[in-house]
Amino acid sequence: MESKGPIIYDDLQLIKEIESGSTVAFDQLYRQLYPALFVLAAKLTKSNEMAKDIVSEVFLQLWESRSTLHRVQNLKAYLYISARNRTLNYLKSNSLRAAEELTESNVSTWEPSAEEFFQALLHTETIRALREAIDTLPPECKKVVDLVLKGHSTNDIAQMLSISPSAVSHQKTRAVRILKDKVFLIVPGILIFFSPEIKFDLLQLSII
Amino acid sequence: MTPTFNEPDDQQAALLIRIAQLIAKERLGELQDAEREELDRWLGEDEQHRVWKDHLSSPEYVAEIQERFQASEESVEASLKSFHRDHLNNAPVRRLNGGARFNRWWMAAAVLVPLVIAGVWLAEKHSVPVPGPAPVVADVQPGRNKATLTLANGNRVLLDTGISGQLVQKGGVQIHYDQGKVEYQGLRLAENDVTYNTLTTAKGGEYQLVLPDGSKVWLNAASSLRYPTSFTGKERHVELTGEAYFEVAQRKDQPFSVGVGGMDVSVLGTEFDIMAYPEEGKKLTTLIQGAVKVENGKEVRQLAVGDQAAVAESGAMSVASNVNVESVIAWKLGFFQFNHIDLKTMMREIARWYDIDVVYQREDLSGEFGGRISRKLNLSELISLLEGNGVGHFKMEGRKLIVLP
Repeated sequence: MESKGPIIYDDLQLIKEIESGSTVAFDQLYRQLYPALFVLAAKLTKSNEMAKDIVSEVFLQLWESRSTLHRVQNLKAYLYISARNRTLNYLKSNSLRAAEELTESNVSTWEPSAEEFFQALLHTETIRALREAIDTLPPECKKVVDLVLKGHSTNDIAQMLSISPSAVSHQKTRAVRILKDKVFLIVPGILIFFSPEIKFDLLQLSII
Repeated sequence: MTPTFNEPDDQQAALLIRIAQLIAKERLGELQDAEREELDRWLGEDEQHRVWKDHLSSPEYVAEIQERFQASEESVEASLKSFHRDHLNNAPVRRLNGGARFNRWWMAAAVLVPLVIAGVWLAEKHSVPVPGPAPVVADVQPGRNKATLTLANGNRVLLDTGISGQLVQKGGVQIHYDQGKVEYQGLRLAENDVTYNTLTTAKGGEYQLVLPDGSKVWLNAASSLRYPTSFTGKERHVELTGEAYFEVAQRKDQPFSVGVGGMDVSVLGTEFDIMAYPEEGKKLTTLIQGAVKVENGKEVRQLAVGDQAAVAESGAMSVASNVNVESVIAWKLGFFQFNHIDLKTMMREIARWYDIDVVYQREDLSGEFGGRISRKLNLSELISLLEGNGVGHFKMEGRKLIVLP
């Protein structure tokens, strides 16, 4: 029974926890989204150093304004946009400084367009979601899925891992089953954990 | 430096997060038909969308992003540590799930932090994570939506995850059950058409009930509620064993009351939790909203929001104010939340949810614990969290959990 609409309960819970000052909840969010925000910021600024500062500031700002966090509807979107805004500020102040100092700067004065940002967001978030899902798999399964995602065919993977193609297919099926059972209802905002749905036939009883 | 809040951008970002998840699902081969449609619709909206998505088909490109992720994941802990040092003046609480690179949010919810009485973080003392139990053949699954509905004629209907259906009872009362919730609908019946039903959860089950007046009841594990199929008389009365959370629909002319073996809780329109497991000894009524009166036969006490009335086995009643309401209702939100409780109390709650028996080989059971943990974990996952946080050592033998010395 797949849920159709976005389920925002866990997202809300996370917001609530952070709003009430839980550093444990904050840490989890940090661990969950730091890599993605860093990858995005580094992609846009073309500088790891800048990306590091930007992401720290994004989280600091989130923490400092936690008392108004309930206004945020989609935590992830909020953080991505916040990283984008900060990136633009950084790039702007950098190019200003370069102009003021009249230096032949090797700092990029390039500013990402809205399209570039949104494309980068889509790509980063897709990979993040995949990594998060795959991370829950047993090692042998994970190996196969990693290769599938790199675009290798079943036969290629079989050769690379010295196992039979049917063993590869088996691991793929297994991965899908595990992901479905265990983790996979990703909704805007946050990953929801679902216990396995047990399928039964529809039970209909008549008038008693 | 406050980021400007730009609503269209925010919505676009939220949409792309959703699309990213669909693409991820597609890659994993588990895109449902409706989701496929959703993705196709988005792709058809704009030529550029297809271009964006096509980029992700390039193995080189994806490998490059993967590498960046890997590198930044390796620096997360260091970065978090300096963030804590610089801005929070403390150290991050050690990760519990040492093996996995990521912490899923539910793992976040699963963080259980024991407190010693002095409030010292016990976790800090155990810097070396204790390995979890060896993989067992059959892990114990957590509880789920599961209950038995006993009708007036004694017939029983099994309600379980994935089972849905409907019944029609005397007087035209309709009962729907689906997705962990059973709901009564119907007009107010004539007095002699009213029958009594009972909803019962065993250990390892929970279920939600919507009574004929629209009042909602969440029944925790190992509990039961007996109620009429229609509320006709001067008052609405139900009988509870175990634990339930009530959201009572307001009806000024018809007060609502809950009977719990010798204790009576009467309300007008309110939210409260009653915990009355026989093995817990005392019966606890915690008021979340509104007003209730608790009666034990001798005295009547009116509770204010945040109050908790405890009726001891002897019948004596005491009321505490400003209790930690969050931990009282955590079960309804899918968590265990412990607040200065002893090991045995904690293990009793765990036993009810996992339908297990707990055996103590350890003699020293002193110490208080606190923390929060998801009720969705398998027992082995829960145990390794407990062990990792220095609560103790455990061994699973089928449905028996042994607390080792």
